[in-house]
Amino acid sequence: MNPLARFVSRVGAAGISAAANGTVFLRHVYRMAALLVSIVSRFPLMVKNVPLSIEQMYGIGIDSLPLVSVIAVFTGATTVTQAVYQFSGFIPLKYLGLAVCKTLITEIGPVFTSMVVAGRIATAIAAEVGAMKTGEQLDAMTCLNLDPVRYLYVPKMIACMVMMPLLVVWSELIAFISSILTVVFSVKITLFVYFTGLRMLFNPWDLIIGVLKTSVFGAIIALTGCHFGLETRHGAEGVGEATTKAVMTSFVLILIFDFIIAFFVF
Amino acid sequence: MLKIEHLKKRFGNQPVLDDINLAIDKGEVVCIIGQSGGGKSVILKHVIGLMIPDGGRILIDGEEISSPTKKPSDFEKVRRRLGMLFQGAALFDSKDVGENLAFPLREHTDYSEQKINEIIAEALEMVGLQPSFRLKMPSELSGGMKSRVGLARALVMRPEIMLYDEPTSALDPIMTDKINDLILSLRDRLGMTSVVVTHDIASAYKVADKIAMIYEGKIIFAGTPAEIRASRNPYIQQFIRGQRKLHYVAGAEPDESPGLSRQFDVTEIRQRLTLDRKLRRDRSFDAAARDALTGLMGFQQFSTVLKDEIERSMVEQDPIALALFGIDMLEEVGDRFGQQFCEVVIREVGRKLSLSTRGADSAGRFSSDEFGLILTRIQPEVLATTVEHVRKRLMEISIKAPDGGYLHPAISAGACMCSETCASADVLSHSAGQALVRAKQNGGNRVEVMELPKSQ
Repeated sequence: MNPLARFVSRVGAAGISAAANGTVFLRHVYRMAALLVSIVSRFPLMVKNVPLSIEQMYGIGIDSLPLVSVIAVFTGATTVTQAVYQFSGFIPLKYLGLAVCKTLITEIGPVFTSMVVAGRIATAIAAEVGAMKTGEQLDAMTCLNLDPVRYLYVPKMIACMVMMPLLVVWSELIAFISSILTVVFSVKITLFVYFTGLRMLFNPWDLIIGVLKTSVFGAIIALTGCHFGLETRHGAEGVGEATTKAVMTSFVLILIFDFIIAFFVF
Repeated sequence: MLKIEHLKKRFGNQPVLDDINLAIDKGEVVCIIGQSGGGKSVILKHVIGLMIPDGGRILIDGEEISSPTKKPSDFEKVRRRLGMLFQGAALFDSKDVGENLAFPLREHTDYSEQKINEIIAEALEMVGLQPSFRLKMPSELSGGMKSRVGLARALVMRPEIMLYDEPTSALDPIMTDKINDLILSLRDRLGMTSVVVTHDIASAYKVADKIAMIYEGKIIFAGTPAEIRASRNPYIQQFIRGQRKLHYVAGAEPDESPGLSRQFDVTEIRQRLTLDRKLRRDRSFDAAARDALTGLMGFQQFSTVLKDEIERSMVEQDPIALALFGIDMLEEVGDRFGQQFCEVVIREVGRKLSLSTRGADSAGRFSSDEFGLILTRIQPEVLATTVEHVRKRLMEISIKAPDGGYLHPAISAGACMCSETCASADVLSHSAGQALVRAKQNGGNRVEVMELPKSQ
């Protein structure tokens, strides 16, 4: 094959591959949108199945507390340590509280907690739904006239949307305590100075948006978990693939929506 | 009650169902059999609305429930009349047995918890499980128990038609029998119409009032178990006998209504079943009766099997033949290379013969240098070519001789059809032996076929 023909062949193959990947991407977008619509349209029916949501809230929220707490402890401590290091020689430490406060409540707290929870919950949802699909449990639900969207996906989404803000509040509380302890034991400023910094330029709106946006992140976690669970093929191997895709996609979507929210709200 | 008309379904470019037609009466147990991946479960999924057909329709009591124009949401009403047991039972893993059974009741009825508990206890009792099972998780149950719980879950809504998707596929024989008994007891106790998809032919014989066989997307047979056993359709016989390949069958064209014209009486069917059992017993591996050198049946066991096959062939009008294979010039080989090498040749020919036979055929060592092969379901016009085919396979053997060369033994064969007048294994053996002698006299390395003497 001459070099020109080889070049054309490679470009053509790359084009076909890109088109195929684009088609797959658009199919995922379409199916996730359709799933989101079908889930949201069944929200009103949830009043009849509150126990299902509470059960999910327990699994998603309460069971995530230990992990979120440990992560929050180190998030708070690391934020203080890093801030002190970055400030040294340039910025007075009386602004340490301000930096920690803004960082934790606007970005690190909500996004970091959401990603940690996504790693735990999106994979769990994808694995559960995938196993139910390959095990014909979803078909069994349909045969019993039990709509899987209503009885399976809606409770998970509601639980994620409700529990994520609560987890973030808890996480930020732990992170602040951790930051205070770090200040006490390793930074040469008084607690009075640190608290003054915390209160400085504190805007409740930052906290409210920071907490409420995690509800959107919760919806993303549930949606990606359910979607990739439903896309599962080929048994156990397929379930593994679904969980990986779910967690990767939820990470990316969380960051994208974090940017969108920041762009429009702040 | 349930009628499937011209049902069609394709997955991509692959046609799975191609004009399926089946009628099922109220209270009937119908088994749909066929190879794995043949579309059996797809039929059930169309009946219960998990799939929408590309063509055709399904009716229950004359009312159309499924057709290409129907939507999944149209099935909600009809699903109340249907229950389904999935292959692995498909119990909800996160709920215990009681919750699995109570879930549909709580969502679709206004029953009190007390009433729900009563229904659950009754359903568990129907499938032979203690009420204490309601607290067990699905992961704590064996395959058979899961099937029973799955059945109980379907029963709590009191369906009129129960669909079973491979209910015994992963179960041991004892549990399989229990599930089969359960299917029959539900029919007798509740008058339930049942559609059972299976490839377990023994289960189909036990539970079915009617068996439908699917092949290449079509129902190629629908009839009683006795009728399917009598069918002369080669695909059906291959399936119900569990044969790996279609060999030697003359006129191997699928017959649209095989066996339906034949009528049987109870005595004949009993006689046939007795013969089958006897054959199975006798064919079971008996090391003591086997030839130590080749591993094939010894002469005595081979003669017994030959007698039984002749009896069976008389009852079922199922033609059989006996072929004898002899190793040419074995004495000369022995003189040249010794007796030990002769035994190597005999062992290799015996091993090759066992590899060259169909599942339903029987091979044995007939004498020191002769082997017998009982060919079942063989037509006279293909006997010579079939035996020649086996002979050629035997001659593919290549054995390294003590002098460094390779020996390719020449084989002669004589064969004889067992005609309707054949009543004795001795006569058949004698005629096949004569054919073999004639083959050797005519120079060896050939096949001769003889007919039974007219007087027999």
